[in-house]
Amino acid sequence: MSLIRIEKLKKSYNEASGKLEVLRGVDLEIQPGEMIAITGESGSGKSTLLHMMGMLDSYNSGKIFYSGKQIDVKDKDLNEFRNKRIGFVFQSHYLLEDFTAEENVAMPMFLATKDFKASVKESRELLKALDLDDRRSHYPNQLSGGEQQRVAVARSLINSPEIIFADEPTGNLDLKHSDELINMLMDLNKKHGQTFVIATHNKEIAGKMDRCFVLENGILKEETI
Amino acid sequence: MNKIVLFFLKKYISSPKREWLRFDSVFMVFGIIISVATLTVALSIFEGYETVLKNTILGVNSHIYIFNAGEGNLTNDDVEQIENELQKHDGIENTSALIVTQAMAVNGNRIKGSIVRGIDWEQPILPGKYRKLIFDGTWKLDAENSAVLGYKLAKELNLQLGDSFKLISPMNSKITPMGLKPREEIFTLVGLYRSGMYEYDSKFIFVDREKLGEFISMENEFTMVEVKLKHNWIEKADYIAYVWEHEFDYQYQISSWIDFNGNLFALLKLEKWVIFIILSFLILIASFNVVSSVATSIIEKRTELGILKAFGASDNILQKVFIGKTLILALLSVTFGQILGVLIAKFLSWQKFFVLKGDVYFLDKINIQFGYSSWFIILAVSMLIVFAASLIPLKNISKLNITNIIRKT
Repeated sequence: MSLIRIEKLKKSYNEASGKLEVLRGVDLEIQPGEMIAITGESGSGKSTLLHMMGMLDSYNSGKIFYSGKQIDVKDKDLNEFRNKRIGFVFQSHYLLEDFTAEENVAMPMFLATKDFKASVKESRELLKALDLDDRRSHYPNQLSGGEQQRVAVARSLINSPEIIFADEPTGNLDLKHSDELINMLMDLNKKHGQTFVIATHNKEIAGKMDRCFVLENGILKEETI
Repeated sequence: MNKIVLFFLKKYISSPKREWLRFDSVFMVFGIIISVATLTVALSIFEGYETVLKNTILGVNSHIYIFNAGEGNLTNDDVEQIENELQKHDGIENTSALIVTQAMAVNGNRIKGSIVRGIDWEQPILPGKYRKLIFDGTWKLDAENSAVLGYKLAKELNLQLGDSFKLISPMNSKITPMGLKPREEIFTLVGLYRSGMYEYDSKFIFVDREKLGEFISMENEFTMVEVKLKHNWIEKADYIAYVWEHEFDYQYQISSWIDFNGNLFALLKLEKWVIFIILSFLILIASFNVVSSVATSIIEKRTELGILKAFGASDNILQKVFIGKTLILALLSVTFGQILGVLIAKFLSWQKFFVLKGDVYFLDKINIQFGYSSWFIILAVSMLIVFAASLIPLKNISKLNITNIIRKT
């Protein structure tokens, strides 16, 4: 059974100049453990699609199924669903400024379990695995851009979600850190079998994924790499 | 409280960014401090005034007064009967019969209307504080025609200790060939009396009961029997007076201190609550700052809120964090406001520039008292208003659109 199935997903915005159709009926099926890239020009709707798949944004029509079960963005227990089954990595790290690296990483697990000690313990192990052990007590403004983004990845992994949506995760990183981050995601995919959906306009990164899709004029097409 | 909410609150308190010192929070804090301090000053003064007035009135007077129900005064037999009967009752501290009359006190050209109380001064403890309130001279009225005067009356008559003055009683005038001649007698000032109550200090003269009886032709007669109750019974004095009246088969007219002063204290209580309600509006106005502070804080923290929502934090938890932050800040502000209010009130009672007019307000000194009940009521009302105000902007949290936040940041 596919992990995610999307059927005829449509999204449009009302703008002063008229109706802007961002997604015109997107169909997509992702299997567990896959690494998917979604590419396209800036403003093509990659982030919109990712946010809708991650249940952060509503859509005009269409359906989204997780493991065969239809999920709607208006569902009451959506917070819990997102917390336990989905991880996010954004272009900017979005770490909480008042919290240390380990507290930031622990946050999703703490929200789910209310067990701070266990969450911090798990957070430390993740930071160790991502080579950030010596940075765990640092605040986000005391970390480099690459470290901040790795902490954000650790945060997305702490609840062992089935799928991680990464929206331009290397957008703010230099080439070296960008490569390191993508290699790290691929390692995690191999070790833990987690599914990754990465929105990027970097063809090189897209080329490293199992499958690559291009979003053009609101239509998603699979691209042969 | 929710563990997550507590964790966030602890983090925000210890945050190196000093979340509490934000510009708009400072206005909120000052608003609450000033309004609570004002309310505290007002209530402290009202409560102090009420308490001191009550203590003074009850200090000078007794709690229950027994008069003859019909014409005339109480006789020795009446007093004996009353005292024997009252001995059976619990709650009585002591009793004493006395003579009270009105007379004119004259010293040279100065004349003052006064109330002369003939007391059994040798009785170790009288129902009203007598000995304790003599601050100069002696309480003993054993010398021939000795008298103790309220210090204001003595001042108005220009009398010093040892000076003599004339008491004139028009009520006991003698018929002479020259017409009606009021009774008069020379007394010597042996002690000065200060109760703190203008009415008493400017009117009361204490003389020996027998002497006063002779002076106004009331030998073996008494105006009333005063009864002092034990502390627990003082507030029930009106009920006790009612019961005794029935027990004495309405042979005597029995009144309590509440009958004479009840309206005054009821008025004071009413004024206190009116002032409280009016000044609570200050807190209500200060709560507008709470609304703007919380709303600004939500706008400032919208990215953080959006990310927490994306990672599964419910609106409810985030709202509780904001309420918690606001209430902690409000609690500190209210407490500080109350401390500041008490300090200001203490200063007002200590200063000498502004004093009360004793002839208008009974007391000439500003007294303060800030009891647990006032402390709790101010705290509860302030926190309730702040809590209600903080709820207004909180609905904005549930309206936050995560996607918009992430895109715009």
